[in-house]
Amino acid sequence: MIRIFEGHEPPGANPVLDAMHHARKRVFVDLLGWDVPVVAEVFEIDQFDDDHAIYIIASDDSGAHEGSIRLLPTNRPHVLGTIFPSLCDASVPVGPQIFELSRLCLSRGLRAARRLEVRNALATAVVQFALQRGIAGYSCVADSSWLSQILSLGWTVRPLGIPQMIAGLPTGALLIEIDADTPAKLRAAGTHVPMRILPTAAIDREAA
Amino acid sequence: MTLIAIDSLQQDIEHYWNQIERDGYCIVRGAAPRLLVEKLGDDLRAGFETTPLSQGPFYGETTRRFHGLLHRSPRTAGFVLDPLIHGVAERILRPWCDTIQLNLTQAIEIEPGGLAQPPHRDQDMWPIHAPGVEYLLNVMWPFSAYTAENGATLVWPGSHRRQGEIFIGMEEAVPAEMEPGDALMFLGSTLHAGGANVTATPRRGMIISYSLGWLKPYELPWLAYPPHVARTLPRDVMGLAGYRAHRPNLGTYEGRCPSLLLDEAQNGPVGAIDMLRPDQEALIADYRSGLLPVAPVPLRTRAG
Repeated sequence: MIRIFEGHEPPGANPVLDAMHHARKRVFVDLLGWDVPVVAEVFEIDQFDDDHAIYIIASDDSGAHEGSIRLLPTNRPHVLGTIFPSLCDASVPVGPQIFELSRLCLSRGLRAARRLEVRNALATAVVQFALQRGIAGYSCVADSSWLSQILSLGWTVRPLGIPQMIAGLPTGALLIEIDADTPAKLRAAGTHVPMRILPTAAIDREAA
Repeated sequence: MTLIAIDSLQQDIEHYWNQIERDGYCIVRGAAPRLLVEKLGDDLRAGFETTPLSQGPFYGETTRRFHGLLHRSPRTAGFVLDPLIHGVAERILRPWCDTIQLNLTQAIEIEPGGLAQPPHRDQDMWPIHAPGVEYLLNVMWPFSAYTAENGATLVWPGSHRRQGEIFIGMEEAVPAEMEPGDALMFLGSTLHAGGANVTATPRRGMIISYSLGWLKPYELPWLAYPPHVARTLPRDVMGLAGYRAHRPNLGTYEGRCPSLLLDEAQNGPVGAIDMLRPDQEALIADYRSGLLPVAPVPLRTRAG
């Protein structure tokens, strides 16, 4: 099940968010060895996890974290604009119609086939969310391993600059362009997952 | 922290399925972005402009109809596979078949002055009806606003439960008034008709329909999308459009699943491969191992 949350909470306030930060610690710190902050020894939480962050979280039937991705508004501090602006040949793309994707996290222990399904479901949710919110593009910083995943999803991707070596891996900045035809591109690439992302406000109105 | 959105697909499928069960139809408001529907309408404009008027008392000589929409616009596949619509079709039809199929894609225009169509049930294309079994789900996507005046589809609520009545009075008909982006879903057992267009503008829309996988489809997908065309279209939508066998072993090519034809040209003979459901494979295994009790059957002559 996919749920989308806006805003951050400290550890202990929300089990779904806690599970995500725990999974992020296990992936980005324990597995990939990133130099990012760890809170209370088990949660990876950085300075961009704030009230403006949006989280798309996939959980299994028992509620366990399967995958997640973070969306940051680019008219505020974000990873590309704050830490890696030099990855952009021109200026960093910012504005109300551009968000940044970061921290794509797939729970360790998922089988390979399920990993792909969860990755595809998160990408489909990212696209549907963009179409609802009027988001026209997502920027992101991607090292070579994530880059190949992003390209294989089928959406339109534009490089923002020449990749550079960061922490031993070629790393580049990208802009993913989203429009009404993007779902069809995912479908053609076989990465579209059937879902129907609806704002909770609309669901409340329907129920009322 | 606020929950701002969720994937409501499963709940929505149940919600609209319940409406269809009760009324024989439902309207999904805002099923697709209006912009996408308008782009699809633009893609099909040449079809509307060049297709001659239909002939015959059923189609109506003030309508234009053309088919094969998956080939005419790359955007059609997204409507055929719309998660909610396709999910509802599966929910209704899958209890009676191994896989569902695309029955047709049809663009339809009712000209100004067009008469109302005779009321009918689409499942009457197939002559034998098993009670309680739904054969078909139709989905009407308007390209222009549908109003009572310009020929909005008329549906008779509850008529799916009144199979004994060939016609029901006009006073019970409801015009499915919609905007582009809305979708009307109705059963093959629901009495309906294209409305009369008393305005000065044509009414344009598209029907996508899904049926049980073992029925003969209205539109022959293998001819609408021969293999060299099918190879250029998304594989999952071609699975709905004929390029998938229905277990056991129905709808095959050279004794194989026709998805074979979606791959590069095959060289040489291929040989048949069974496509059976697991329960059928188990039954054959039991038969071979002598586990099935065989009742003696008296020899029957041809006369019976």
